[in-house]
Amino acid sequence: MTTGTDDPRAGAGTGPRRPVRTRRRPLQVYRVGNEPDPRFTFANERTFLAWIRTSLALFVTAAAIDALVVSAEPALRRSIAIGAVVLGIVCALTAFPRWAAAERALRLGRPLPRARLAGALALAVALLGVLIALAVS
Amino acid sequence: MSDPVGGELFDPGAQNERTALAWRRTALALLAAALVGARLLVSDGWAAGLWAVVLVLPASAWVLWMANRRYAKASAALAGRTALPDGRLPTAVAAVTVGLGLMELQYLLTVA
Repeated sequence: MTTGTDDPRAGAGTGPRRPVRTRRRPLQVYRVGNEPDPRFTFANERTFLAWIRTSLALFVTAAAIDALVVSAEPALRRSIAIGAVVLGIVCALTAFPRWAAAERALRLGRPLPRARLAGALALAVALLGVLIALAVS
Repeated sequence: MSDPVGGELFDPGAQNERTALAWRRTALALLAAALVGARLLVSDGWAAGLWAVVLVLPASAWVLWMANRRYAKASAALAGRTALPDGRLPTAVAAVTVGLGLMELQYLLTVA
């Protein structure tokens, strides 16, 4: 089925599915498939929000390093802060496309897209930690 | 399935409530990040600090308000009356977050 539907129960398998023109955006998500189990939609939304908070935490880290680690060499301090902000911007930029891809997959009953950024982010945060340790020692 | 106040929950997992709380945490994190950023920028006498206050602080309040509306809309959807909320508010929140990051990046790149 390729027609988007606004019927919240359409995915639950109760009765025939009625294709409805949808006003929900983005269309790339809502014009395909059927409404998934609401629990999955909520979980996807919370994952999106967790990425946004991760991004915000990296912004605050950058500000804290820039403001507090005064004993470190200024160039190193500034580089770490810039690294943290750039990492945070990458998290925030990819959060919504990731949400949309996952929601699309849920609507189409396909496997979720693999979490490419998660591993890279873990490595980058570890590296950031090592640099901060060097900067304050 | 009853909650302590005697109302009805759609599911025992309280998905909508947990999601509403995640929205609130995010709005508060946005507020905190904006305040930290603004404090940093203002202390350096940098005008962009004022922009962080003028733009991002009302945006945090707006996200909090919209998140409450979203919870109510999702409740109605779970009762079978309307569709679940769509991707517009997530788009806006992601955009505000990217904007805050760019402001901070610009500050770090321009202030020696």
